Amino acid sequence: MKHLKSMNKKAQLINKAVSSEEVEDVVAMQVVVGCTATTDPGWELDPFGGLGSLCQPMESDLYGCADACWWPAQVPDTMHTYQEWGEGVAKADKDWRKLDGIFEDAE
Amino acid sequence: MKLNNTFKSAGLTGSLALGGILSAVAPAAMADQEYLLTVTRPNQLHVVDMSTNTIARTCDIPGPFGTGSIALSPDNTHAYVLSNGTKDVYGFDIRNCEITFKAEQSSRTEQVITMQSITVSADGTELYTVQNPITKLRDRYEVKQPRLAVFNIADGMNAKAVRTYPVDRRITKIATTAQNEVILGGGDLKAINPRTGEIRMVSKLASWERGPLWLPPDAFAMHSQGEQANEYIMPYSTAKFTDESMDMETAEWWWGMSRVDLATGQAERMEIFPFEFVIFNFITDPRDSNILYGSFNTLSKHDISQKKTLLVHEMEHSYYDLNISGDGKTLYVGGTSSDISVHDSDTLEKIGSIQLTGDMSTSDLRVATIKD
Repeated sequence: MKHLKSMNKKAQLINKAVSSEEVEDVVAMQVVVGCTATTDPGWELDPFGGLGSLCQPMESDLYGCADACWWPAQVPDTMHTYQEWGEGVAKADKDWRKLDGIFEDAE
Repeated sequence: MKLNNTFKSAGLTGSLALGGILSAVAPAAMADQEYLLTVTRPNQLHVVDMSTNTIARTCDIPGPFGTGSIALSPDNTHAYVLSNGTKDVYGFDIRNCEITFKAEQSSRTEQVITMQSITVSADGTELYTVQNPITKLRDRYEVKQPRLAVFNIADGMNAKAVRTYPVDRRITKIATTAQNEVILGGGDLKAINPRTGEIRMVSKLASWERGPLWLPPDAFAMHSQGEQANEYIMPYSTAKFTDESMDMETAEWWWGMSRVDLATGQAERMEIFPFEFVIFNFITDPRDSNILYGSFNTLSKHDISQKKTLLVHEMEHSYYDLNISGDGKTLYVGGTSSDISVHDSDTLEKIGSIQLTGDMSTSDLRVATIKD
């Protein structure tokens, strides 16, 4: 870092943090079921290593996983980022074909 | 979802059309009447008459769906519902759908999420939520200390928190005791005095000290609904190892629970029966505190005095939660999809179905009993 000069506030903060070895404490995310906080397995395999204790059928569980941001890697996060994902589809088991994927590049 | 049993009894069916008609013309709720409350997508609060198992009225909740967590006033005439991705709270008079309360918890610079944590004071004057705030800075989010927020219900449609107290992270379901402590369901079960912010341990779970032969419990309450038995249940699963090698293959696996009597604030923690299948939510039979029912892919009945499962009924699809009539005779199993499955509590056989206008997703299934 000694050959680089901090030109803006953010760079100065980074420089300060690095130079003083002061790094903020790692804090767990605020909620156990909030997006990236969860490490809960269960979408692919149940606690017994099988499939029988997964939610059945998957459509029954779609909004339950999306609305609480439980498994944001598997279904869109309708709590924060994609609140409109289920718009027009009140019943996932009837109209699941209308639930589209998320395509960031198309936005 | 199979629909072959869904319309077994026309008298048990509340269709979209029927719900819409009844919501427009339904009379005011009658005395000593039980109502089942739940929220469906896109964002409606349904009031189901449990004497006929039909939708009495449907109230539109402003904003996008918000996990459907519901808290009741002590007289059960008002329901407080999380909306807008759990950021806002709306209060309804369930007798006529009038919106009587609104609290927007987030601001331009601070986003507040409430993960299921909503309850009303014992005297009905205050509403409590657990707020999980983040400050939205120009280049990053800053996670802040969760807090219990206290609202005056009399503040009506522009309520702001009048007091806040720091609480633990990971809190989901909360409930108020007769002593007006708020039970906080997190890693451990604690209680906070909402007048002073003083917190006491109610039941150790994540920090229990049972030695190396017991696996730390996996505890979580998403749907605890103990209004009929006046209690709060935090279920957990654990394992007892045969020796300190901690071999999971030979361990005994158990369901357990910390159960709080909301009349006294006292808790009991115990292993209740062997862990043989997944259960999302438990309720106690109001006639016998040793009898529990559980829901998920099965509806099950358990006698915890014998630590055994009495009955198991396979369900047509997954159901996250359940509740029970005040006489203990009828079980209502809901959450996930758009049908509430009605069962006889003696046999667990299905006796009816209530069709709703959308999926319940993570919503509660509350019973409001309106008395004279």
